[in-house]
Amino acid sequence: MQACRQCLHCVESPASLEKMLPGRGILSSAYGSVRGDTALCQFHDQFIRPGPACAGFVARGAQTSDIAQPWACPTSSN
Amino acid sequence: MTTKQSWNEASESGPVRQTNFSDFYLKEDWWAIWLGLGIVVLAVILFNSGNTLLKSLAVNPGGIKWKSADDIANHFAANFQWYLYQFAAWLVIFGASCRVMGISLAKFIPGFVIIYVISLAMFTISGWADAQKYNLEAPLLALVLGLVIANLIPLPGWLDSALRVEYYVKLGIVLLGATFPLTLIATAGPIALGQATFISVLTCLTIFFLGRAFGLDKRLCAVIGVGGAVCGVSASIAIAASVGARKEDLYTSVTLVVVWALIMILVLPFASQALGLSAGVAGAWIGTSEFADAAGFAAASAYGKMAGNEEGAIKAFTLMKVIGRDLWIGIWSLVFAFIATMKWERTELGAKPGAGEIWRRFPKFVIGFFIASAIVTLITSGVAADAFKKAQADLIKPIGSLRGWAFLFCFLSIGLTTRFRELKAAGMKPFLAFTLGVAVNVAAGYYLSAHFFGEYWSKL
Repeated sequence: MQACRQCLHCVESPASLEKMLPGRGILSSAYGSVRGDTALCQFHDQFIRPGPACAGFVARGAQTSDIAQPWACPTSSN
Repeated sequence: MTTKQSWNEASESGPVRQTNFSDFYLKEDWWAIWLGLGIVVLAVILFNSGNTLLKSLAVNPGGIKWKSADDIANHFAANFQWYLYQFAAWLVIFGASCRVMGISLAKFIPGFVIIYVISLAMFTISGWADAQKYNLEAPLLALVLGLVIANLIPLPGWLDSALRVEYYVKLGIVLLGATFPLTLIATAGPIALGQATFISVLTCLTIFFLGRAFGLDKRLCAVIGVGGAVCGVSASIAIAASVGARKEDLYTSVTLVVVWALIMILVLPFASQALGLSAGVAGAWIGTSEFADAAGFAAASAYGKMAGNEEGAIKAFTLMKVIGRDLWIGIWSLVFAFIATMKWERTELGAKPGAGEIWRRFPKFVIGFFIASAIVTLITSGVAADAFKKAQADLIKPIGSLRGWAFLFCFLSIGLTTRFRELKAAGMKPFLAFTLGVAVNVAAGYYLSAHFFGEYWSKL
């Protein structure tokens, strides 16, 4: 079963999150327990707890031409 | 065919959580526990064997009360090798743990050298005999200097690897547990929990409903509401996942929290001084009103030094913020996750919410704080007055000194990471909702700390 964690759009590593979100490291840390497993879904531009993949799933390592747009995903609110 | 540019995490270094077990070595909360308790256990072993190694290693120029350059020179000449050993010890424990968490050592080491050297300078300045007269306290000095440097000089990217604000403060809190009698936690815990619960609910609901009244999106309201009510940016990102907030919502929260947290660090100690508050009352007020642990410790520590009772201010702050308010994060995450799922027609992305959320987001370092407190309370309870005095001098004081170092690394890191150019505009409506929430929080916190529970807090 495909999962968010295997998806190109899912940003979960603390180093990546701190790099991607300017100001995230001020008075806070992506390495802390409070963050839990919060990840950023770039496809939906939403913070999520990784779970089963949605229709926007793209396996890591896929060609950029395979990457769908948010409006292609039926669960997207965009 | 699309050519959407996407951040590909696969190309980034850094391990990602795979199992529950990996949290034990990938989360800084657990590292703070391992390192903090390791130091406490080592201290107990050395103390019981009559070895003074830890006392020598916990050297700190903050208490030398120098009057001339000669005094400083003499101090460093006499303790030069101990400063070297201490620096090496910090570098090894922080460097090794950060490496395991996926932080580059090549970047961390030069960054930490800078942090240590500046911290040493700040402690030395605060060790001046007249420092207190001019409020030259190490926490405020480090914070202000860090802010000035970060906002006037472009800093190299590698320095960020060593600016582990939360890691340093969490280690400091675990070490703080060793100087915190378990009996005090047992007696004061219920009062702190009661006050923190009232404030957390009041602040969160005030910001949330004001935001809604101003027409803001409910997800943004939840993110800034919990950010203001619990623990700032950390709480905001936890709630962001629960409600499916967007990146822009988090940016807004970061800006509001950081700006207000800095204002509070600088204002609350001086407001407490102007109001003539005791260290305990001020510590409880700061614990009720500050957003982030790191910022609050800076304010409480600064006022404690100004009032001549740093321990009292820090203890009251810890009870209120760390034991009281921080525990709310998991509860708020769960509550908002359910509301978002059932009421807000949230799109079904990611994992479903469950009661496990409370433990998953629990600030685990608090466990280390309790264990450290239990260990030292056990060692020192029931001993004769002389033996207790010796334990104070040779066991508790050195741990307290190391705690002071960890906190100072944190305060300096707050300053150096706070680059105003990185903050994004928050918008007038979110600013108003958050600011009014802060006003309610500060007023209610003052009333509860200084009047309703004033008699109790003033005894600390």
